[in-house]
Amino acid sequence: MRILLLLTLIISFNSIAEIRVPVRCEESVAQISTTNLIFFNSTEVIKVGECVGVELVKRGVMEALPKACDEVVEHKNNLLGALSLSKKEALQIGQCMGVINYVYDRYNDEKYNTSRYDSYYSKYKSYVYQCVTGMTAVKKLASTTYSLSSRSKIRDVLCEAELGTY
Amino acid sequence: MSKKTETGSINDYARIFLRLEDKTLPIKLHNALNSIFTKDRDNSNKATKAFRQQVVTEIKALHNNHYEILIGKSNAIYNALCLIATVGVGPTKKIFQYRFQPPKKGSISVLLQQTQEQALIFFCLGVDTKNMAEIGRRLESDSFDLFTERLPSPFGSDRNDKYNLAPMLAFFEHQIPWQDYMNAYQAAKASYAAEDVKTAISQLEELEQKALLPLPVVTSFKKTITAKQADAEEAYCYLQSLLNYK
Repeated sequence: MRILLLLTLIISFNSIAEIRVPVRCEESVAQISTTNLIFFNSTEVIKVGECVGVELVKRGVMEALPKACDEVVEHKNNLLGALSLSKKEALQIGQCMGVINYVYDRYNDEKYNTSRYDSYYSKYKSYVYQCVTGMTAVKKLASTTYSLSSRSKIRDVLCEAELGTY
Repeated sequence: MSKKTETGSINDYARIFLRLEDKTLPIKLHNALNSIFTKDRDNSNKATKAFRQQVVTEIKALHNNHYEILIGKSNAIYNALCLIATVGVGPTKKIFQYRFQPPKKGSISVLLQQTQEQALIFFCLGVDTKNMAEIGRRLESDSFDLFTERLPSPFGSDRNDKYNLAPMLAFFEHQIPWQDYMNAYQAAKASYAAEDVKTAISQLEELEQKALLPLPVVTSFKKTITAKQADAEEAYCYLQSLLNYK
């Protein structure tokens, strides 16, 4: 189980190009019943969590996110974590990972739009976003205390504008 | 000179081991013990005679021929009861014979495999597989003395008393529709496999109520399902709360 979870984590974080969360998974997720959840295995529940996480980040609703990512950290620290993984925790883990993957997918290597607060000089350089993934990203989100009320706020937590190489 | 014997008869000891106190030994068990230790059959072979001589001696009296247990050998009766519950009468006799004629390799593990009747005992009385493994291990070990030492009880229900055989009485004492219980249990399992959790739980509850004695397997299966259900319900509430953020 633990290996399975780690594998899921690794695969989800690394093969970002392959992973495409359904455009609108919300409808199908709303149909999920308690009975479905009994018979879903952890991997499936994590997938559901990913889908919901992405839907929420698109709408800028992230109240539950730091707590969800906290769950990932806890399970990483707990040796028996995956063995005692409850379905709710699996949802939270999926939710956190879904958001991180989405942000990476959406912003990494994307051009940074200079704002009017940036220095005159920087406007003539090309900046791109570099986003963190994996446990670094998880920990950043878990320790976020201010409210993540929009997509750009979460982007600012996970990504930094760096001088482009081109 | 006659050999020294214990004061109690085979039945007396069986009643002690089964915690029967004043009650009589169920006739099925009485017959089983007799066929292992006393009843002479034409096919009683050398090994049978040999192991019987280790345990009992026949006292010939004018109108009252009877058997007495040799001193220090009462645990053989305990082991016989334990094996009757776990493998049945015939195999029990064989296991005793093996002390005097070397078994073919692997015979003991073959004997320990369940017959249909044993499967019912296992199912209804909650035989602990760990204890069964320990019984198998001891039977196959050369250092274990089947006549003076005791096998662990196969029943896991009493943690303070490793040698409590009393649960087996339920199987030999009453007329209990085991097969009905088994069928009801399997129906509940089938409902669960078909993802009909509600029906599965109500089937198990119904079985618990109509059963004349506690069925550990049924209770633990019900516990497993209800725990899974509670886990899923918690997740469901969380999921709904996420979907309701608008």
